[in-house]
Amino acid sequence: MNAPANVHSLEAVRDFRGSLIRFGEQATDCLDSLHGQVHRMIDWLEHDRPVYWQQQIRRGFDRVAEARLGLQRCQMRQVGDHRPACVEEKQALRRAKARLEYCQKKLEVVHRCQRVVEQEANQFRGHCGQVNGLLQRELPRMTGLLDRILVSLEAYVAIDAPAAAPPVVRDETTAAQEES
Amino acid sequence: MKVVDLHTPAAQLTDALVQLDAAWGQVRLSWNDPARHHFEDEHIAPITPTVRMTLDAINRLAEVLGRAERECIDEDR
Repeated sequence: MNAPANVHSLEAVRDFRGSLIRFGEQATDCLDSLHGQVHRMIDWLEHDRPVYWQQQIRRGFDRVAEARLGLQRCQMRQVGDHRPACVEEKQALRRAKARLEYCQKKLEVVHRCQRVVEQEANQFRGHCGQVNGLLQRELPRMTGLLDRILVSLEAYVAIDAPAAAPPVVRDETTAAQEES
Repeated sequence: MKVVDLHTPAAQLTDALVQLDAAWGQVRLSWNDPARHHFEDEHIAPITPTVRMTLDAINRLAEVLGRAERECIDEDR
């Protein structure tokens, strides 16, 4: 014999069905937002950053050339035996070279980060498979099952004779297991 | 300004899970029979570990993306 139903509030079950649907919507929005953010990061690394650092490298070469010219001009300003130290010009050339080297290294870092992030993003998409299955298949199945449970319980409480055995609702998996 | 923010959607996903847990807690107070136990074991119980696993993956990814962002910005400017 089936065990008796023990539900004090059908309203609570109905409310939970609503909560389940809200959870599905919220979780789907979060995942969409996450995938959007990952896409944005990949776009930043593949388009924005290489363009930025290539521009900076070009500018860096120009500044090194300017600084070198400045130093040469300074060194030509020799008056008699006095040879100018050109301290500022030498510093400017050192700074320009250091900046150029920094920008060249950054472009290499960008290429490395592109590979790392792409790999991590692929792994993340793989991890999302299970939660996607939950949201796209399991939650609709659960709300359908709750609908059937609610219909059965409503029918049960509508029966005048309180001793009547309650209908038992099972999902498709359980039903298949019981039949086999 | 940060290029990406994975923490906000991760926090929203955590909130959604907490709300669902609380809602199920309310159901448990008024529904206690084999059908409820079956529904809980088969359908409700797997939700938390699945979402937690996703949150762990998000945290790992956020760390990698944050590091990449810091390494690729122009610190001289």
